[in-house]
Amino acid sequence: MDSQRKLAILADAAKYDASCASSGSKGKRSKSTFGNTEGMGICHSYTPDGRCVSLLKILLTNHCIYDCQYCINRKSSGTRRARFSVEEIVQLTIAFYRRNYIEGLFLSSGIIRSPDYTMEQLVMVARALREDHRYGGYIHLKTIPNASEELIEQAGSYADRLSVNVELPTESDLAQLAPEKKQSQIAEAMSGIRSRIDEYSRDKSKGMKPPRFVPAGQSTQMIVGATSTPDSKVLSTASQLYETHQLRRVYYSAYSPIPDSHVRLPGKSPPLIREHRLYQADWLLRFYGFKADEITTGDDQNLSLDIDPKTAWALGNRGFFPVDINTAPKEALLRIPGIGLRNVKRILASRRHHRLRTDDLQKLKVAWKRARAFVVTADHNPSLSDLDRTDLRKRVKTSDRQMMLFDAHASASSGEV
Amino acid sequence: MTYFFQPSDFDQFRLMARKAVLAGLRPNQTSWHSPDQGELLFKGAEISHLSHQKPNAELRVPQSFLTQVKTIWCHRDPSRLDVIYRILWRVHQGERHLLDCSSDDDVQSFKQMDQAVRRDVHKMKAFVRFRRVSALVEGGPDCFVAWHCPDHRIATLAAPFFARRFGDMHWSIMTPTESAHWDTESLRFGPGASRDDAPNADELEDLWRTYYRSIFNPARLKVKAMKAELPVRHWRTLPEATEIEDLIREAPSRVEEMFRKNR
Repeated sequence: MDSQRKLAILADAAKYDASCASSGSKGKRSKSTFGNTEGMGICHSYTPDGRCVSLLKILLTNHCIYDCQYCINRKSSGTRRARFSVEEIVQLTIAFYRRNYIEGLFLSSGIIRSPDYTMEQLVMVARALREDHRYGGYIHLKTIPNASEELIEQAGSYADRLSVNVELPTESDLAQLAPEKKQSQIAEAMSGIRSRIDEYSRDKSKGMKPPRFVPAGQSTQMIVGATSTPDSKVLSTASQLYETHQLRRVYYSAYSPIPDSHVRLPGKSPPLIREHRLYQADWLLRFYGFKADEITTGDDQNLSLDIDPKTAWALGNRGFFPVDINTAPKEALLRIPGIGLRNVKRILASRRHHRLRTDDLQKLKVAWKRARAFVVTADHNPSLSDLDRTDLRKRVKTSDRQMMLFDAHASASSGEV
Repeated sequence: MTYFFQPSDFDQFRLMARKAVLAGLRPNQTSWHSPDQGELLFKGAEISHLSHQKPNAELRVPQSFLTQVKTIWCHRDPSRLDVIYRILWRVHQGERHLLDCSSDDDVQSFKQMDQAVRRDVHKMKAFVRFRRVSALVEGGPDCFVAWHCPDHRIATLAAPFFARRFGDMHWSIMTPTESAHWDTESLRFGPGASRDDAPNADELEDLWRTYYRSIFNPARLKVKAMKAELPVRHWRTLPEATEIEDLIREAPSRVEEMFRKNR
């Protein structure tokens, strides 16, 4: 099989992994002669699904001894199979990189022979890039659960990021769809990586110069919509992952129907709006000071699809409002619907020098339609009386059509509310 | 009396603006022109006559402001220099925290221009596509050449990134108004070029297009989202863009086919 055919099969097989981030790693690797990472990731292209193309995202092989039902590469699927050699991947990565097509490589694989054998192959690619070719660009390796500690250690010394996919939000989802995977194994792999990262920072703070270990940290992916597990459970799993394993990112991937899929799985379009709401909620957890259990409420375990989670929270907690733009603390400003992190910073900077009026906020391009019922400004804000209206939900809602066209796309990369 | 200024480069602009502020020229007494706007027909009062209002007066601005001014200098909007001068003037007049006030009209244009240039630089880092040209002399190095059309005159801002990343390569990036060249040791800037000066293909581009087609998921078609980040005006310099139309057209039937087979 020629490289072109292999690339078509092994890129197609990798596209269900949402992560394409190349950020968070900074500085030049010692001994590298070309290639670097500068903190901010770069999206070199975008495909018509609105997703960023930053990394050469491929599988080493899509042969697999496992039979996870949501996965296109499972043993029982009729998909065409291919396998790259280590050298082929190395050459392809370098050729693409030198033409400025990509920020680096995101390499994953189906499991062949054994977890250790597979992991070894991935490590060989990374080693050849770093040591034989002095390549300093980004490398993200998917770690194979149950691979030995030494292999993970080596992988981490070459890679900028490692990831272990939790795949599904609960143990019972796993039992149902990925019987060969166990939550305990996945958690163990993550905490193994975390303790190595911690060790690195400890050595560093003591003034030593330890060898690099995954400077861009670890991330994971959860598939949503393949089972009936509600958002509250998805978010509490995510929140736990952020806390226990210090993950940089949890990616949510709307279950996308795959060719030749198992009968038990939904055969309809992926729930893209739900995925978008989860990213927004995730942002609230990480940057806006929200707790997982206040984002969805007791009676409704799922996020509203028609309004964003921050607005939904505000509607359910009207007693918290109005918030005075000119005097409220940062934590309270962060809870106002329609005002994002960046505008909160701008508000804090300018209100030191003059009191902010309604038109100042409009000039800052806050989403005034959503914010107006919840804020007090220096001049009269007539919309404030809407806070008591029963039809407030309708008044603050952006139309679904707009949401589809403009908001949803950003979620895949940012998730900002 | 109106004073006309046409600095030839950034450093000269900086000196002229400083001199004008310290000479007490109000913004409405000045008119600023870019080097690329052509020779001024009408030359106003000569700047050399200007003298400081107060001999010991100083104009101090934070380093971060200077960086922004340097960025905005690369913007194509001819009015940018007037905006910068108005802000300088107001800061000198005592509005020390002017730049914190994001809702002020001058500050808003200033920040928008800064952002537009920075976005353009970011897109240049992303969208430059090198094509390999075999060595001209035997044993000599291969050369990597790109043709790119930025919105602003940003070659000097973006080139250092490519020098850091591709330090061991000989490369050139050509744009309609400027060009940048790296020979593994130093950066050199030159005049603009035309499309025909750059190579028109590279052996790797078929593989790259194959990758682009294969990584696309037809079940998640979002054309507007793509265009927001990959503006159509850049498509002509991106080898993968030739695939976009087909991918969009075929997506619905590919998904339909998949659903049908899965039933």
